[in-house]
Formats: sequence, structure tokens, C-alpha cells
Amino acid sequence: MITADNLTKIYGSQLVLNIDHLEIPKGQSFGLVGNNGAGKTTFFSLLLDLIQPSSGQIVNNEVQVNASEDWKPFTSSFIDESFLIGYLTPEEYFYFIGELRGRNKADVDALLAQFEDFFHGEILGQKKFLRDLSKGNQKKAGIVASFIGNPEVVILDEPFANLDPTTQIRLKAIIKELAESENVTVLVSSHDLMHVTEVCERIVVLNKGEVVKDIQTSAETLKELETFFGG
Amino acid sequence: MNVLLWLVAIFAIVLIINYVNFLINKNDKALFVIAGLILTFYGLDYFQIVPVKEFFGPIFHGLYAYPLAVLIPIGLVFIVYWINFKYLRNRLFLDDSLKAKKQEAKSSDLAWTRRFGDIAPFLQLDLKLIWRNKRTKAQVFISLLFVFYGLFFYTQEVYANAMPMFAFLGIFMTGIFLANFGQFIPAWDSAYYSMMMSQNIPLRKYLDSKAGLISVSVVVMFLLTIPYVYFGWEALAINFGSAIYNLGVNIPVILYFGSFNKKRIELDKSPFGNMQGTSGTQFLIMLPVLGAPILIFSICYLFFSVEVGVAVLSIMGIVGFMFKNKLLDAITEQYRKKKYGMIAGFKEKNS
Repeated sequence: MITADNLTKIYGSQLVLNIDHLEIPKGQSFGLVGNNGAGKTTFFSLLLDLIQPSSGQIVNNEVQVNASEDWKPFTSSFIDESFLIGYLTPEEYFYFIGELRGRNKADVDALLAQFEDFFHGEILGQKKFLRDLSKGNQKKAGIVASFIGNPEVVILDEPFANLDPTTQIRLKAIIKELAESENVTVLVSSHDLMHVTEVCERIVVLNKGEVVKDIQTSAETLKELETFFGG
Repeated sequence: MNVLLWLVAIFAIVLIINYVNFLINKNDKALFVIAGLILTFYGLDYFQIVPVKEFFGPIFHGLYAYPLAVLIPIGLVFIVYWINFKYLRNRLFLDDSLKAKKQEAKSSDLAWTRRFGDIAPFLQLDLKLIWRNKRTKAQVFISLLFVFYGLFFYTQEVYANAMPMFAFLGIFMTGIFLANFGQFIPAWDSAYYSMMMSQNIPLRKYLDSKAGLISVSVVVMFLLTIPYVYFGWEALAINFGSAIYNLGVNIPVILYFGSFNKKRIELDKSPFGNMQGTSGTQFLIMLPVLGAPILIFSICYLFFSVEVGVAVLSIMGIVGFMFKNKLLDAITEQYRKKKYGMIAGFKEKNS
């Protein structure tokens, strides 16, 4: 589904990302871990064509992302607050995203109904603008918005950060279900080794821009990661 | 003695003005009340209903003639001071001002925008953008106020026959929203620009919607300036030509220059004296937008006549309109090229 080749990103004289070859097959739930500055967000930004690669390219479902816009209809993402429109209410925001992805109000409402638990009554019908919601609630809205319109690729940067424990657990269930039941490729980055090992079939560790580990998740994975980051 | 008390009275008046000024700064309501009063007085005087201006002389003389009258301004000072005191006192506590002001959000689906077809979602977004953010909302009101700008010039003898001045007014009045709002496209969307660029949004639709919105504003501003026909048919004709020119030429021009915007705008900051998002680009934009049409008109007027000037402006506008699709395609391409720079620029806060 997603292939990165000879991908590098250089800021000034600093090489922040250098991936020779990385292939993510369709339907995989893919976890990206690494310390701050390891290049996780850089990789996602390249994947979304928000920054220009210094060399190489990413191909998403046979579309080279920096050459064509055709990857947009089947790819959705939530990277940070800059993906939210502060002066809309959550409902308006969901409908707007729905509209962009060819879903009418009824479709969006049906989807939102599935996330009632996840929202915990703090998102819908609050008569508040997104800019007035707490960080955690903003994040919830952004994550759910990225599920609108049956995307084939869902990219979530640090989805667990800022969420309360209950919501984290619910989010894990949601991501697992998404990766299993539908043919959806989910890309998640996280600092939390436990969450990511629970949710993802495959984990790639980035360190200073390079892929240092590429593991199929098993019972020992968490241990392995802990020793890597601990030692 | 009288002189001394008169001085005291004047000093008291200065203090009143000072305290009133203080209130105006802090409170919009006070501003509107005062502005309303001044406008009413001015209006009454101007239309010679009540000669307000002539009242003031006797008032000041009265302060001199009746020393006891000094108590009135002094009393007023205390009243205004007391209002200030109470007002500030209520706002003294830090937690009050920290308590986030949360307006109750009213959802609106603006169903009437549907008839604009596939640019409807963006149009709705733009309307909400304008209506729900201080700075953009202020732009709309400022633009509407500029309709009266013509009164300064049309009414003065000096300008009665200065047609280039009329051209300036025409371009300016019909294009004020175009200039004010347009010059910051797409920086208005800077806070969520990365989302706009990674969502399933055809860039072209995005620009079409902005162009549509500005077109409506130009038409509305033109309709509002029609009454200036009172000052001669030239005014109307020139405004008409200017409006066409704005629609056909200036809209693509301003959208094109928008692609040079790289400065973030925080939407919820106050609009007055807010230079956020302003850079050399804005000054560069104003030259072709305002300067070019005035120059073109003036040349036509000097060598030929007003009619020719208006005709040339209109024709240029119509030609621009005919090539609208081509122009917008080219502009879209320009936005695409500049995309990475814009995304990076809009992410930089506090610049």
C-alpha cells in the first residue's frame, strides 16, 4: 500500500530522516516509535506531502504523493491541532469533513453514533467551538474526524497523548477494530510502548531518522522495545 | 477670580475627556454611545436642524460669566471617574479575566449556500470564518463604513472635476473588502492550513469559493455606492467601470499575490492596529490593485474622455472575466508550487 524509497529529509545540514526502503502492506496496523526528534512526525508529514522530501519518494497506493493529489480521497489523518478548525463546533467540523469526503449529514451522524462511548458526552451537543474544548477533547474530535468517509489509510500522530486512561483504552479498541474488520491501513506513532505494542501488528523503531528495528509484534516485543530504549 | 475658575473648568473638561477616553478604550458600548452622540450632533448641525456648533461658544462663555457653573464640569469629572472606578473594580480580579469567555456556539447550516453547488462547503466555511472571528468581522464593518468615504471628496469643490480622484474612489469603495480580506488569503486559514492541504480538497474549489465571496462583496459595495449619482453621472459611471475592473482583473490579481503570504494570522486577536500577517507582500499588492486602474483611467481621461476611461476599465474587467478559468488555473498552479513554504510559514507562531 505504502512504499518509501531512498527517502531523506535534510534541514540545513542536518539529516532528520533517512529511510532506504520501507513497505507497508495494505491492511496492516503499523506502529512508529522513537524518541523525540527521531523523525516520526517528519515521516508522516512527508507521507501527507506537507513537506518536500530532500530525495526519494513515497508512493501511496500507486500514487506518488508529491506528484499527484490523487491519494487524498482515500487517505485521512490527524497530526495535531492544526487539523482542526477552531471556530466551528465539533458537529459542523464533522459535517464539513464529511462533505469533503462525499458523505452527507446522515452518513456522518451514523458514524458518530458509533463513537458515543469514545466521546463520553463531551463532544457532541456542547454548544462550544472546537477552540474552546480541552486539548484531550479536541484530540478526540480530530481522531474521529479522520475516520469519516471510509479512508483506506488512516494516519494518527501520537493519538494517545493528552487522553485520559478510559479514553486511551477505548481508542485502542477502536484502532484494533479498524485494522481488523476493514481493509484499512492504520499508521500510528507513539511514545507509549505499551499502547503501540497492543494495537499494532508491526512496529518500526526510528532513531535519529533511521530505521533501527522492524518487528512483527509478538509477546516478547514489549520487552525487546523496553530493553532497546532502556539500554 | 472668574478667569481662575474658568481655567479650573477647562481643566475639569480635560479630565472628563481623559476619563471618557479611558472608558472608550475598554468598553465598546461606550464607544458606540459616544460615536452615536457625535454623529447625531454633527448631523443636526450639518443639515441645519439645530445649530449645535453655535451652542458651544456660549457654553464656554457661560463658564466664564457664571463662576458657580464651574461646579458642573467638576461634578461631571467625579461622575465619569466614579464610572471608571466601578468598571475597573469589577475587572480587577485576575481569575475573572482568566476565566475563558466562552460564547455559546450557535450552529448554523447556512442551507441557502447550497445553490452555489460544489463550492458551497467552502463558502459556508468562509462565512463562518468571517462571522465568528473578531478580526474578519471587523473587516466587514470597516468595509461597509468606507461607503461613506466618497462623501469626503464628492462634496468638495476642489475635487468636483478631478476625475482621476473619482477613479480612485470607485476602485477603492467597490474594492475595499477585496483589498482588506483578499490580501490575506490564504492566511485567514493559516491556523489549519496543513489540514486543508492534506484533506480531500481540490485547491481550485477552495480558490473559487474565495473568488465568489469577494465578487459578491464588490457587487454589494457597488450597489451601495449608487446614490453617489447625485454628484453627477460620472461618479456612477466610474464606479461601475471600477466594479467591473475589480471583478475581472483585481480578484485574480489579489488571489495570485495571496500565494506569497507566509505569515500566520491568529484569528481571535483584536483587529484594531493588528499588523499580524502583514509583510512587504501587502504593500506590493496594493500597487497593482489600486494604482494600475487609476493610472489606466487617468491616461484615457487625459487623452480622450471619461467615457473612454470607463469603457477601457470595463472592457479590461470583461476580458479578465472571460479568461477567469484560465487565470484561476494558473493561480491554482502557483499555490501548489508555494504550498510547502506556506505550510511552514503558517506554522510559525509569534511572528
